[in-house]
Amino acid sequence: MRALFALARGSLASAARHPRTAVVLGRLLGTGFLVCFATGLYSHFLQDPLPGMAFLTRPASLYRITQGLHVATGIACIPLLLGKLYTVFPLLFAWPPARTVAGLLERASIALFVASSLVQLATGLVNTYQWYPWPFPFRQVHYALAWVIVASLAIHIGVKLPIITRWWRRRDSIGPDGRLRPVGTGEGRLGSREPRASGVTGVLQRWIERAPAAPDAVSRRTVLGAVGVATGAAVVLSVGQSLPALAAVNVFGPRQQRLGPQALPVNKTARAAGVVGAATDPGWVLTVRSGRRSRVLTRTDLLTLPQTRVTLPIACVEGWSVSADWRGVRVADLAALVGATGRGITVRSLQRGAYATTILEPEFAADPLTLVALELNGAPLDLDHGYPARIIAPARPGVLQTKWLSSLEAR
Amino acid sequence: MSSRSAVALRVLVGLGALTASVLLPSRVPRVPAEALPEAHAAPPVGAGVRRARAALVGVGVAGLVVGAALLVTTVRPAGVAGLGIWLVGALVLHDGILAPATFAANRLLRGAGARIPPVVLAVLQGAVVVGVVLTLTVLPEIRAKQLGPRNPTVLPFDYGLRLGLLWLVLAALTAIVCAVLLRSQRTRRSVR
Repeated sequence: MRALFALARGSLASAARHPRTAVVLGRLLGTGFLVCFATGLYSHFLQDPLPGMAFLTRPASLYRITQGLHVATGIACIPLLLGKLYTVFPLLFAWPPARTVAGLLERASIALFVASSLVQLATGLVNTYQWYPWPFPFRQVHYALAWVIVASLAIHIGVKLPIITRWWRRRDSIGPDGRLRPVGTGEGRLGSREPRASGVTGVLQRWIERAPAAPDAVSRRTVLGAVGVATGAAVVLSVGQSLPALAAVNVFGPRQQRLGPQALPVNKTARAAGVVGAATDPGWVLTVRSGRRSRVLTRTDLLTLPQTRVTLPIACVEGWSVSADWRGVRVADLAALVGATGRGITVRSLQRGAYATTILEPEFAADPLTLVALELNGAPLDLDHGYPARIIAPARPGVLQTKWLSSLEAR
Repeated sequence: MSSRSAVALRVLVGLGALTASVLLPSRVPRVPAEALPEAHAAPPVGAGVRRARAALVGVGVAGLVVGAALLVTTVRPAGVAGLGIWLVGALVLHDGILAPATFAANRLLRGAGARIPPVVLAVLQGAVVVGVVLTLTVLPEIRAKQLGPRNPTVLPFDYGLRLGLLWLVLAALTAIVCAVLLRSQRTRRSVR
């Protein structure tokens, strides 16, 4: 076993597997993970605020930016993670596997870190395809794993800090001859030329070594270049689902910006929500209530109230977003009808299940851009976009832009 | 013997050799790390770095507790067990299949490309990596589309066709870059 591990380390040794390469890729990946964590926390608390939390309502595209960044960065992390794992793979074959209890714990934490990162990125990506082939709830696990990953990242940086600082700067890493400096003991040796083995292992070793190896600089640049191009390509070919400037090269995005009724994609159709009958009922009314005061408004009543036009994006948690023109009645004006100015509002939909009831915090309810929308891009709302009336507010996730309204209640 | 059975034989011999090298005692001279060439001692770790390490590990352990608490309070035991299987599966898939396959592909490419200039071989390897990584991200998308999206605005494209086109474009670009590199090498050699 010791011989086989030595063989693996020796065969895997490459100039690209150098602590400097691991540091270069690692700091990009670490930054990516932190961006995902920060934007993910923001999205999480918007949907599940802690008591006393308040949120920015400007810029109106804030959530569009943070969530687009979350998904695009997550996609970028996939090639980066694979590249980082490539550079450190020989460490898997360290012999003995651990010398001390601390060493064993460190290896266990690396295993957890790697496994959580792989599962997080894979399930996060496939979630944007609206496919959930795993035996656990996505949202809860994605949130818990995010903490595990960022915590493991802190431990990993802590453990490797001397190596990271040693190889952080280019001028400390590359010698005057333009080559990477050799790695000393304790400086993060990643695989090395192993002594000649005899017997069967030796035969295998010689066969593997018979293939010529590229010059050091070439093999290092191959890895960095390939990871860089793969990262760029993965992002550029999908980010057009949220970034209009790159919509033309949206090759692999799971959404197309202007594709859908009224030039807007749909997440849940009226049929899927089971609201077709209730939403097309001519007797539909919107009830606005505050304590004992209440007003019941038909769609015609709503259309006779002062109308406001706003341009606001629909920005989905899955990353896609599209800007659209909306027309309708300010939520603040409706709240004023029942004397609920400045209060938070419970929004109820005709649909059942998750997101049937959402909360508009006071800052969103009072915002002049927050509407009960009746029209979209110059025509009455499509049934799949929430006819007869829906909420549209700035800087909020799409799942909270409640469709097929039934009532607004002051909190 | 047909070429296919020759390949099968070589694979069998390889696997056999691998098994034998695990089971049979094999002598590897024990060389202390210090005796290897290019080895030198790492500079000593300062007090600041030691404190920063302790703080980072402390924060990390606290974060792990938060993650574990979130998991057990918001996910049913069956879900936690399912996640455990996925975590182990991810390690097996990467460390047991993807990484060794990368090594094997690299060894075969290096063996086959022994006579082409290293830079050209590097471009080929890079192109394969880019293509494979993009394929890994698009394959589940193709499968999700096969299973039937919830409405026509979800997964609107023919992702299989687009992936095929991507490989064609990648191959064409790689061929152009390799041709340019080979030509420039040839002219350099003839000038010399």
